[in-house]
Amino acid sequence: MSQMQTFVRGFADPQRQAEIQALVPAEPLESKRDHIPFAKRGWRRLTEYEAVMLHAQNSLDAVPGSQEIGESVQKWPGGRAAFSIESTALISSNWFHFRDPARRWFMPYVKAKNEEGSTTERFLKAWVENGDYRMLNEDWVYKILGPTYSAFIYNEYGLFNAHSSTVHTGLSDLLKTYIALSGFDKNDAAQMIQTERVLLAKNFPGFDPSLAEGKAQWMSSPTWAPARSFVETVWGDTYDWCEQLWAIHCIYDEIFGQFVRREFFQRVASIHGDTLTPWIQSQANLYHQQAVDASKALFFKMLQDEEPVYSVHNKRYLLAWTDRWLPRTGAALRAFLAVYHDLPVTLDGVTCRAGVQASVERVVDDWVTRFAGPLGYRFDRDAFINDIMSGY
Amino acid sequence: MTNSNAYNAGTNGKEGQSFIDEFLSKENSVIHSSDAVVLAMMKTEEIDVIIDEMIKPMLVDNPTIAIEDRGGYWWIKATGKIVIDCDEAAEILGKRYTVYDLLVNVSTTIGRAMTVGNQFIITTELVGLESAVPTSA
Amino acid sequence: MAGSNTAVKEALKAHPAPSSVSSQEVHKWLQDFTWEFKSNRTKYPTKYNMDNNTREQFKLTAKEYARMESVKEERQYGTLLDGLSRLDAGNKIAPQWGEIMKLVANFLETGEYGAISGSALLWDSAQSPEQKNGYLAQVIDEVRHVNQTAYVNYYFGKHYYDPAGHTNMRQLRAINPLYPGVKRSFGEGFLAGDPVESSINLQLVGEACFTNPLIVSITEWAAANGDEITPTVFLSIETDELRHMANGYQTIVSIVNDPEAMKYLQTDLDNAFWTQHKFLTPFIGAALEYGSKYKVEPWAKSWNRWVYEDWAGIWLGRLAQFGIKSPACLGDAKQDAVWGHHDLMLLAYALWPLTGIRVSLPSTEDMAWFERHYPGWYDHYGKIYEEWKALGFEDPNSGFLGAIWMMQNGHGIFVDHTSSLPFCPTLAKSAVRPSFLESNGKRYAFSEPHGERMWLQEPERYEFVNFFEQFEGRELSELIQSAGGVRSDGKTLMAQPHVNTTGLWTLDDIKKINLTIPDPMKILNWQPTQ
Repeated sequence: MSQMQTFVRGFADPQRQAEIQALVPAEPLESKRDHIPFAKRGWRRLTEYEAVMLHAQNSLDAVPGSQEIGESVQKWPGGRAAFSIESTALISSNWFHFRDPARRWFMPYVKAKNEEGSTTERFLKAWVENGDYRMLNEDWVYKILGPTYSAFIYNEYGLFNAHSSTVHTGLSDLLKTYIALSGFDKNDAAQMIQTERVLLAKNFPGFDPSLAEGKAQWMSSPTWAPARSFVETVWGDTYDWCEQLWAIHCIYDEIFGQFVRREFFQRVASIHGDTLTPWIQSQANLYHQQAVDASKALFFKMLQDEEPVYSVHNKRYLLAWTDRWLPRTGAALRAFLAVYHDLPVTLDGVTCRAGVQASVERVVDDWVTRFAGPLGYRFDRDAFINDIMSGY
Repeated sequence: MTNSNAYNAGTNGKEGQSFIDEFLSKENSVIHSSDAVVLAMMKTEEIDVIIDEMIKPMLVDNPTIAIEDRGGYWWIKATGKIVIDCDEAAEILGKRYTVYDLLVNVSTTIGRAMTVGNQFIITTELVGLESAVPTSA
Repeated sequence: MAGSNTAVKEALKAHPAPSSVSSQEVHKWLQDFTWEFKSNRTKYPTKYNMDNNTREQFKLTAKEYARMESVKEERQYGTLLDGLSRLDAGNKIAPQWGEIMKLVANFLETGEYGAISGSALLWDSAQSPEQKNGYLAQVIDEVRHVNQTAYVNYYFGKHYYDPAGHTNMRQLRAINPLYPGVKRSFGEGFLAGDPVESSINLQLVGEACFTNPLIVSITEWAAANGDEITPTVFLSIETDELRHMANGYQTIVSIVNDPEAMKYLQTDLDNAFWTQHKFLTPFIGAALEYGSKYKVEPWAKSWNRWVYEDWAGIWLGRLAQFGIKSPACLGDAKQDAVWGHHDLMLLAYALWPLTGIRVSLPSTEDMAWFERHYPGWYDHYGKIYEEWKALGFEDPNSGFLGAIWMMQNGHGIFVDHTSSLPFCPTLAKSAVRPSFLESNGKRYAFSEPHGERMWLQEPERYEFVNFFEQFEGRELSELIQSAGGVRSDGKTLMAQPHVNTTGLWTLDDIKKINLTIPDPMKILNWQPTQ
């Protein structure tokens, strides 16, 4: 302890604390300690997750569920209010009823991410020092983890950026929290791919950690063209924040993202002796899983199942949005399948047509189970899969 | 000679009406450029050690450094620049201590603050304008 | 198939730490993460030209950020949940301070909440990936700060001897006449407007300037008054602010070399400074000096140090070479730094039932302190408080309310239309130069010309229904009850005009006063004499 401390602290200074105690009542002045007692509980008792955020939003009372009386006091040039229910076509009777099933607020969120980071740090050390990288197929390293993997950075980075306006516009506090954390996860996913590539550059002579090849592929290869178009449109040209979230987490990342991460990079890496990429991608898959859970809580639980007035209206929009974004997602995956022709190692049951079809079926059927089914969205599954497989 | 960066140097050394008169004077109704930097660092075990063993010894080379106990934090003001090398801090503390561990307890900065490798730098320089933002390598 | 041993050895030689990747090794590639496409432009355009190559000063990746932040969280919540809980910290706090924290924590929460959207706006508008990365971290930081400030109220609600108000300020604030002022400057001032204007409000002025007294030096007052909870949380909040200040500075860096920028920059800076100052200067000063039993230093001195000498000198002064000048309103702001908080507190006392907290008039000791540091204070304010006390300010049976005394004595309370803050033209010692303007058949009050000018230039941005208009015709006790301002016995008010444990005011005591909220703008004879 430094010798210079001279400050008189009321807590520690005996005389001052005695003076304070003379003013402290013998019994608490109020026995009721329920926090935000006016707020609807998402679970049986108030959770920390709700206590530290719910109804923090000081929005105008036009946002249903707001505690506020009145309106916003500074508006945009032209007079538009800061938060506006017109920012999405969906309607809620109470935007404050959203709850993230994972109950993520800042503290548990960064704690979990730190655990993922520290485990990765130790994993990388062991992976290199035990010489695990020696199992890697060099062509996989230079031809796939070089350009193709870095092209995928742009996909994740673009989706990350599609969350900025959705955070700004999201209509309640717990919604903004979930959107912000999902965006942060996407940025993390992009950076973790680059972390892996920097590590590879340290262990594989001539491996270029720059994004030059990846960017060239992302910008000009037909393999990525529909994916790039999807990302650019959902990021730059889509203004309805609920539509953005639905398109990203409930369609595109559920089908295309899961395919690229899980069915391609994780599954195919293993036949190339690559134990590193599956590890890195497992985190992105976790982030996707969490975003799916929260998105389902928003679009199904809150805006349909528990929505007393507008559920039919909302369903109509979700169906229309699915019509808009599903074909683009299918096109992205169809084009991506060309990547199988560049693989250094092929394996029956994995990289053959039947194996890839099984992968496509898995992601499409998962999507049906999680989204299309509960929404009541009807489409020709087999035709959709066949169309995707035409890219193989 | 009194350190011009001391906590109650200048106008704040005056009391009552004399303070108010000087504070509201015409001369003090416009901004005067300052080459000082200010840091507030939370009082913690690590920061106390860094103050005693790293910041205070800097007084030899930079006598303009002022350090003040403000209850929950140390207030530090200096002319020019302060550099805290976290490799050195790690050795003193006997544990892993990166520049981002230091940032856990740096409560505020006035001046251009940045990390360069494992160093924390706060400078009067206008980085990005008068010079490039330094990179780690 | 595998890499040859020779190649591996060569790689090891070239890279001495091949088994780890530091945050900064990844960060240096971030600028390459983006690409050009037709609609790669912000949804929130700015009138400035922002340089696409602006850099970030702290070079954090998501994982390293999470590591650093989780250390902060472990230490902060560890201190609260273990150490301070065992030491019964909630019951060691001087009551005046425990009360003012009901407002300080919640009002700061409002600012932090506005900053989530404000930094998302900047994340969207920045083109440089490093800048986007910095703004994203700020978005998440602001989520943290809402959680933290909320946790202060939550923790006080669990451990402090008067939880009323800590538990439900998110509801009570709806009828607090001071609250729209927070929303204006510290909430929507951050998120509704040109992104660069928002950045100047949020980062260059709100954070780089006013968070220092609001979040850092306030901890001295907390510690002096027995509160170790607030320093534990607030000092940790501020450890994120330095990155935000750097974000704000880099926003300036990204525009300042463009000669066109100077067409707008000085005006935006002057407006932002006035907007933030207008609420924060009186509010922080009132919280510190009137919410404490033990004083640290006069607020005007803190303002001189943190705002004038250091923030203005070190940030704006150094940027003078690029054409930045002293804000034209600086002289008036300094006048406010001496007197503004006394003016605001007079209104808070007058309207105490709507504040949701227990306020207490200055003691004899306090009065001597005020007079010593603000000569003339006693003749102006002290005498009023003595008169109020004699008339029964604290006594629930007196039927006395400061606001009624003011009306009866010709001291109208108006809402300044730009800042949304109440002011009393006839009792103000701060830089108040009132004006009353009419537009489209509606009358508006302004407390000074800086805000009036902002309204005249962009009236549509300040179009709102103020406190008096909103609640005109509502009876006071009914209004308090509807906002949840009553304790669990169903009758005693959460707000009180003293911090004693007996003589507590009830709804009936307020009902007896029989005050129906008026709209002063409709009552001509309340116009101040010029």
